[in-house]
Amino acid sequence: MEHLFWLTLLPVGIAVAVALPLAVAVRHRPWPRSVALGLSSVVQTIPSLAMLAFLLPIFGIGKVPAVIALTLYAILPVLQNASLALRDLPGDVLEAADGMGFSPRQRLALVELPLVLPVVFGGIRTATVICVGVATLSTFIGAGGLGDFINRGIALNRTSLLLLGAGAAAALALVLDFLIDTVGVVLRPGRKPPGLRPRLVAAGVVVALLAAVLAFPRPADATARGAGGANAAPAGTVVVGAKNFTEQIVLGELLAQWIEGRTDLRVERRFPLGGTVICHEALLDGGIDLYVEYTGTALLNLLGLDHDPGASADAVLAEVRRHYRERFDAVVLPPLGFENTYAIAMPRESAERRGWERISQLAEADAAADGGGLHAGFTAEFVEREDGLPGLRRAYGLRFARVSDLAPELIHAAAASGEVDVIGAFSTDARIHEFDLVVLEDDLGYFPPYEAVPVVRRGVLERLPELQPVLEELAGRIDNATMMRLNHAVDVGKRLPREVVRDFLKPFLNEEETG
Amino acid sequence: MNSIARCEVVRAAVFLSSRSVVSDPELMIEFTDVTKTFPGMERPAVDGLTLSVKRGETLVLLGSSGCGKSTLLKLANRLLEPDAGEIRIGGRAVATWPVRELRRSIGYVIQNIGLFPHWTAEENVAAPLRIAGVAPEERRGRSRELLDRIGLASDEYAGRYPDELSGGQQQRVGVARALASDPEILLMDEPFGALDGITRERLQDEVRRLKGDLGKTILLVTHDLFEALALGDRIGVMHEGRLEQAGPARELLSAPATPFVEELFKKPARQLEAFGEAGGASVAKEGS
Repeated sequence: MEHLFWLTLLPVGIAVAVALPLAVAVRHRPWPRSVALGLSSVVQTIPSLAMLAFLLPIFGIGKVPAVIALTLYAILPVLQNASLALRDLPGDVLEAADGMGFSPRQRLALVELPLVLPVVFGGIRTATVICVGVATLSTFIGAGGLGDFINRGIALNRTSLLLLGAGAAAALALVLDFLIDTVGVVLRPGRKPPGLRPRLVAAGVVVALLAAVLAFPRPADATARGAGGANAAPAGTVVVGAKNFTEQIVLGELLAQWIEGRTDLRVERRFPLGGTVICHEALLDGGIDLYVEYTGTALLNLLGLDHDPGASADAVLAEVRRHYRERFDAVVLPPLGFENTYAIAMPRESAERRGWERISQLAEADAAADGGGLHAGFTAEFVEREDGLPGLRRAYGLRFARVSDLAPELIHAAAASGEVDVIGAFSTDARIHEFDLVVLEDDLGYFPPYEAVPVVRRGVLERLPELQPVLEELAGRIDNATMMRLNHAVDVGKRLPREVVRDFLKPFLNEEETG
Repeated sequence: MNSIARCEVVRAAVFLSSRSVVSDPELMIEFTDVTKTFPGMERPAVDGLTLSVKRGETLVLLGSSGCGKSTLLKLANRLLEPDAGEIRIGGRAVATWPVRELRRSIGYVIQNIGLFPHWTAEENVAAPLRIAGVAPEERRGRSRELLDRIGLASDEYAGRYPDELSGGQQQRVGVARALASDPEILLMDEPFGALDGITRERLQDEVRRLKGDLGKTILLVTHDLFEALALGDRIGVMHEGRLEQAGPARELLSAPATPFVEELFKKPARQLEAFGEAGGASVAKEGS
């Protein structure tokens, strides 16, 4: 399993291979020792996600940056334990060794290393547990592992998936901790502690169970391959990415199943990835071949351009397409047919009572109340971003009596319960329906259009010429209502994205085949 | 004789003896004008010291802590290097010996025993043989033989780890370890420092026996006057890095060369008198 080998044993192994010789090399040198320990402590203080983000532009997405990050985290506990234990060895024992004529190498191999071994193993155990934990975050850069369950659990709001991932990670940490401790006890020189035999038996059972779990074919793999068509020639492989929220996962699945259904290509699903920037970087460096982006996001966040209020959706699409071709050597395919734009939403009942349909009406009421009236809730990101709340305030002259930062998962419920009067939301979010909210029209065109468009590296289309026509068939097939329905089926109906998409695509695929 | 004059006499005698060592094959350990100052210290730890130990002799260095006696020992096996002066072992200047060869030819018993906690008594005793490349079977036999000799029945004690041994037993293992490679010379730094009176006395008896049986040359450091009296063929009294006087116990008692030596012996003698004649007689007997 990738979590066990790639994201835990490999980094810990590399860390031991690096840290132990380093600790030995600096054991008589206080200065280099302080520098080495200081550096590895600094690494340890870098938040895991920040570390992954640092490594992303250099190493792209996938396992390599994850292994590097985890190795860096694993070095400190091993280095620290080893070098401090070597420093604090009893002086009389070393004096005895020197006095009877041990060579430095003999002293190291026969006395120093055996005596620090238990402490070093303590460090390896700590490193392992850290790796199992941090490894769950490397799912954000597409490195796989148990974090996939957690990430999907969060993205799809599925507590069961989340608990499965977290529980498995915790269990893995405990099991590895026990096994490594047992290895340490067996290797430890000197008297064997009592109870070694039952411990070895237990360790044997645990290893056997672990091997059985790993040997068991994973259903996810089986279906993913099966869906590709058993008789399909492996003409090529396409890697589909997606960001980490429901709609993106549905769209990723949609692209994947469409390609599988309409071509002989094999599809690899690499999602959910950590976010917009990670998907974009992955697209550029070949980690993924295509994913669905939104024209507004591409314009503002990825291309760093300004939105000209009032510019049409077609104009924005044309501009994004031109820049993608020139700057990223990537192709923006025709829009899928819906827009997932930022929107101002409020409870239907409240909007109807006040007769509000447009944001400018909201602004008028706000002004009339002299700032005393409205309580708004937005995500922290929306409040901060220049193209979020500050720009919205300027465009409409909105003031708001109070603005609260709300977590995206809670924001719709907060509006429905009347805790806040209006909220910032995404127009296709199923929870707008679920909580009976309405979207106010952006009558001044402040928010840029956010048309969903598949983006593909040009090289991929050249390598697999059958891909582009097939993807273009999807153009305009998914309108806002459809997208909201699919999101609803996953978010509220608690169905698997794979099944929702399969049911949705079934008539189209049949139609194409028969027609 | 006033004390200054007495000092002169001693110095002259020591000087003469040091002149003669160069050609004397009977001298195993020779310190000549040895000085050692530790970085950051004002006073030298060992200050122009000259002293020699004869083959088969036990010389006990006596002095309070910090007088430089342990430092002197470590200069002999080059755990420390002198700032000035020369040290010879078996007639050869130690500075010209490869350091590990030198150390492997000297048995060293350190103050805090320093047994290897991850090895059994047998493995500890065999350590000097192990690093010298002696085959496992041979060193095992030798190690068990030494344990038996030192009073630890090998059948019972060979497999025990240091933390399963009493302080006295650990100390015996330490001594056996120093004897393992059958060195001609033993350096012993406060070997019985951490032990209670009774254990201590028993071990002292055994060292005396070893001395007789094996004919080792021993340089032993202690701060305990009675240990010095019990073990030393000669006693060297050290104070503030200098050798005050060296000679048989009787000579130190009857003709102390310096007020320090006089004072050193006077106080316990007074205490012993308080215990009655039996005590005094025993000291006289030990010293002879």
